[in-house]
Amino acid sequence: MSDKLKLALYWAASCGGCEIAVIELGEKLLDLMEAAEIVFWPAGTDFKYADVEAMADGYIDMCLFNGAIRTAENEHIAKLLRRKSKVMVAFGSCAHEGCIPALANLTDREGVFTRAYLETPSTDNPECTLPQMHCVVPEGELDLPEFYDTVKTLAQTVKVDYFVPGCPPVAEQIWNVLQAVISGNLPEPGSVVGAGQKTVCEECERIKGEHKVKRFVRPHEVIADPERCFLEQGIICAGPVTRAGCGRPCLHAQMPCRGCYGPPDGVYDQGAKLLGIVMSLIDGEADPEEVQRLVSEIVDPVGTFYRFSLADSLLQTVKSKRD
Amino acid sequence: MVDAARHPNIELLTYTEVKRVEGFIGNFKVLLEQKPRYVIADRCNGCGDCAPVCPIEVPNEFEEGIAPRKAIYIPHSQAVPLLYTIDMDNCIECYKCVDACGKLDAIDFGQQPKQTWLDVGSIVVATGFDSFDPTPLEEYGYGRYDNVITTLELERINNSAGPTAGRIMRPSDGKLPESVAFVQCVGSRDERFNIYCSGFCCMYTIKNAIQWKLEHPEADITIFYMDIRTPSKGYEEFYRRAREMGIRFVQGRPTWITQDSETSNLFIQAEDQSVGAVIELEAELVVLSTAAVPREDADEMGSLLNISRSPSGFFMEYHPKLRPVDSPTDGVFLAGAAQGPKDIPASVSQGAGAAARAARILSSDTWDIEPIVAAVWEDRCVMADGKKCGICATKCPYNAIITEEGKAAHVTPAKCHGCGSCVAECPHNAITQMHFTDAQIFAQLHALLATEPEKKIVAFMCNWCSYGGADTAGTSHFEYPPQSRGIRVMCSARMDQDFIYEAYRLGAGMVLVSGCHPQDCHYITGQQVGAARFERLADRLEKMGISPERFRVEWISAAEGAKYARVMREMHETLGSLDPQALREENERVRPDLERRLRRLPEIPDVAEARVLDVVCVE
Amino acid sequence: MATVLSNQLDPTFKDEVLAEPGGEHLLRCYSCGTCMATCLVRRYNEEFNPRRVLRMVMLGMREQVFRNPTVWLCSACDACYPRCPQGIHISELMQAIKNIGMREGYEPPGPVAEVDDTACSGCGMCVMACPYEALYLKDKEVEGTMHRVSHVDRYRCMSCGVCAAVCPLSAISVEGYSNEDVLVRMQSGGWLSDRQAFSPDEPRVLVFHCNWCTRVESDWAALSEFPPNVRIVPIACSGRVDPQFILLALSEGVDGVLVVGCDPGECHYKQGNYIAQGKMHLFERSLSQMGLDPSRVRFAQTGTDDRGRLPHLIEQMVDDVKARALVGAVASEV
Repeated sequence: MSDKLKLALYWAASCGGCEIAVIELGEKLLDLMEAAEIVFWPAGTDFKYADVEAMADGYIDMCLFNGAIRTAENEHIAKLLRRKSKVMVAFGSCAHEGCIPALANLTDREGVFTRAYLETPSTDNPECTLPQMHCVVPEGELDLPEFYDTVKTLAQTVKVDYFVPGCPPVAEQIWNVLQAVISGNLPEPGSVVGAGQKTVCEECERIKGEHKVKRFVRPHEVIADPERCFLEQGIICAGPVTRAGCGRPCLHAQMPCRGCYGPPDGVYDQGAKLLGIVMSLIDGEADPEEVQRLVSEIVDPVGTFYRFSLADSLLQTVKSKRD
Repeated sequence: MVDAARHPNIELLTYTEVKRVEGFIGNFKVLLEQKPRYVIADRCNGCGDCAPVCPIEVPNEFEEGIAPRKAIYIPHSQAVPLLYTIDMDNCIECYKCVDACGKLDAIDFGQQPKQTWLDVGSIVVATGFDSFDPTPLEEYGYGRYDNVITTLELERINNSAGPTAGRIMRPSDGKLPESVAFVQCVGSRDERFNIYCSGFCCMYTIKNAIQWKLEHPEADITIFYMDIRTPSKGYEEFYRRAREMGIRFVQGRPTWITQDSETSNLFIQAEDQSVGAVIELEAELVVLSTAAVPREDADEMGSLLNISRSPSGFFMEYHPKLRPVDSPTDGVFLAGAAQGPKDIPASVSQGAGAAARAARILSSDTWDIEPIVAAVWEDRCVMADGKKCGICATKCPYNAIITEEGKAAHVTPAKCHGCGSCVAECPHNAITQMHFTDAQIFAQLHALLATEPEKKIVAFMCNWCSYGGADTAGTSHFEYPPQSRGIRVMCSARMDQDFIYEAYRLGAGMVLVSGCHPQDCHYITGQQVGAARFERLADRLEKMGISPERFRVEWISAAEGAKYARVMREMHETLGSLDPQALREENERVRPDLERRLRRLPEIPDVAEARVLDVVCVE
Repeated sequence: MATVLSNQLDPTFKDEVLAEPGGEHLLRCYSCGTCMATCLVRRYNEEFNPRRVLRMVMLGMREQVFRNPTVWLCSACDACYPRCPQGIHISELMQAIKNIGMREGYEPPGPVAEVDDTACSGCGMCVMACPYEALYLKDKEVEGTMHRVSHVDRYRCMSCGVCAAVCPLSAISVEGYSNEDVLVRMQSGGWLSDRQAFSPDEPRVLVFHCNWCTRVESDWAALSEFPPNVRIVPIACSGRVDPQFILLALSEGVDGVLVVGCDPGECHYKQGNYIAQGKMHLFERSLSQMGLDPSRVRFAQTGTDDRGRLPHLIEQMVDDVKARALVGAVASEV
């Protein structure tokens, strides 16, 4: 084999956006191929699980694992790849903190199946057929991997060496990470790479810190003032609790930050911190009824504040311990 | 009270209201309405057999609501006359009382209110005061905590004829409190409620404390106060006695009172300023010394009798020092707390004083009134033609003018004090004042400005203050230039703008109008009437083209001789600084306007003859 | 104190205060002491005495007034104003005196919030959250480059700590109430992490209460009498509570968290209790959404007249937590 870096990429419970993000490297992919060799990438190449099983432990130099751990298969492959890789990277928000799949943790498997297979308006399933782990059909026996009750992050499943946040991580940052890997310039294990130290607010050009909030609205309900901070206009923006580094494409598109790069160091529950911040901005003329009104204006607190980070949050820890 | 009821010269009318008062000093007519008792006065002997059988119980007002009374009741056992009364708002007409009354047959449900007119020579108002309800002072918990009561409630509890037969007990559990806290100035000296001091509460609290301590030497008694006021004879000694008995005085106004819900004990929090720390005192009972406030119906009473009220709401005296028992309306006198919170010795003294002054009127056949009264020229008053006016009546401080549609206004000479407000305010010059007629004033003006008017300062002065002030300047030898010419009227309200127009028309260099300071007017509101008029006049004069320095308004009291002299010197200097030619030209320019404004003067009786001068040119 | 000599007094001082906006009613004061008895700041600073300070102003004891902590520590909670029988707006009067002091260069004794410039991202959350508008964003050179960071106005900061609660980067804090300080108090003696030390009928209950929520001395004393399973953490204002603290406690198996603040209208720092109310209610909704029992977390308020209320609230919380445990908390959850 050559001296090139052996790279593996895998997708567990995810949307595929992270694969697209890698493709978005564009011409730099050619530069990448000078230094690295892809040894496993279901989305982009034709390697099979058997190929991975055949590898020696530690054969893979770096595995960019995206997607959350939703099923037994995800877990199995995560553990497999961990054995076969020197460095395991939780790539993208799903692997890092659960992302959108983790919002299913508001319910459990039964809740998910009931909704998806029985209750949605467009479902036509009069026999109420639900997926089974094992079933016998005329052609033989079929097995499906177990669908877990709780979505987990990669780090809650295997030991992770680095985290690349983002939904998806932006192409420039992916390139920065790859360059760091190639040149051997990675920080100490356990770090978040491909992102900044402070928060999105530092990069945001809007005028900040002027007014208190009189009411909360969702982005589609108003035409926001493009020069002023979203939060002071009552639009919930996760900027203050989100790690910098994405180049804020959402803000440039006149949409508030949704928090996909996860919290900065020191914030151990992104949702709770954002919740605390948002309610601290309410107008001083508030009386208890006003406060109640403001609270009720926030639809779906968990979905709003924990949109990307639920699986990695303390809230999840509390729930998991209870269960 | 019984003596009063039996005195041959005193007729005691109880359960009776005053409905209307007409007339004037020595000749009042009072309409009385005797409310029905539903009990026949001649037959009821106060035996009290009716009350026990009455099934209706309501809170007893005399007992401050602590105890009940029946629908048929006497206010208290010392009531005079000792007659029962039926409270028809609550009576259900079950007739049990009629049965109990039996042969005496003193109950008559058919009674009606009776109205009578009385002729009286003088009136004394001794309607008393009410107690402030401390419920709005939420921090003290009155109404929320059982064991926070007012002093009047304590007085009833303490009273041997009261609901507890004089045994002190607290509301929550009826036990004798071992500790009690008195809180002073509740509702008094307080910007939010009444800013005055009620005067007698310090003494009655010390009295209650001493009384309690005498009966229960082991009791723990504390009085929270801001200041202890013990001004009269023996009062300070009384305060010392209380301290020496071991009653604790804490100088510090409590900020709140909280309750222990289990024991119903109270905790009073205040800064003890003498020791310099905040203390929290536990007491089994708290007594609030509430303010004395005017009675609820003081407004109504004031309108009936035409007496005004001081800012505190109590009835206003004619003069706080010199005539404290007279009201501004002649023949109506004030006695007791109705005129302002006061204790018993002061009330009794004032009562005796009011009685004496009222008696003066009764013991005379005639009564001297002012000769300088106003009188209406009926043929000039437009009300006689059916037009609406009545301005004179609205300006009169004494309500001495009667206005009726279709008739000329009429001044009641006995009520008129001679301020002249009506005379100057009448837009039709239909009213005159004896000895201070327009004609007389114009004659004075013409005489004073006959020569060199442009060098002169015409000073209109009110009799009581400014004229006195000018006199003081003279007797004190304060020097001022001799160019002033004074015209005295009784009140600044009399200074008609026509006088001032005429003064300028005649070429006067400067004009001063001077009266009393706002609160000092001898005629109560005369100065206000004058002041409002001068403000409008100053504007108008300036618009007409008279330089504003030539017209000055001052308020100079009789003691302010130095001020009068200074004002004169200043005006003289200002006059001197004006260019004489320019002054003359100004007068020329303004004269046609003035003449136009004064064109109706000759219609006023005698004025034409008084205005002997024509326009004067000066050299 | 030593004798006050009249030639050391400045008779114009009171005129200066009278002329300053807010100082108009100074001379109405007749030293009744109601304000002194009301204000709780005296519990934290012995020299604090608004009645005495007004008296000193009237006498003309200029320097003593500015060196006394009273004018600097008044947080304008206005508990005294409605009780003043002379209708003096005392907090405005204090502000008037403060303004004169500021112009003459006197500094408040502090503590005030402090910003770590290197950590601050200039998000402005603290600026918006501050009840006193004591913070502002401004460009400053930090480690060689210009950054927009938060600044503290010493004269306005009342050390409530609401800013520390909202800062995501721990870039602003108040002495004694930093995140570390609070965590230390929660954890000291291993209380947070050492679940095994407590038996099942000693449920662990964490109580945050603000420094002002009870005005009754005996209630303060009662707090030290709770058993070790109840951990009581005082904070300056209920608005200082960060929901992360609560989640941390719950994730370590703490059975109940009670946050106590002041009644509506009585917050010592103007609106901290409203912020706390909002945070707690939104937090409870989040717990419900996750199928967790929101009653394990509670926000309560106490006021002036509530004698015995604070200890009672804590007792009630402990009892409720025990009762839930008996019934079977797991079964009652979704």
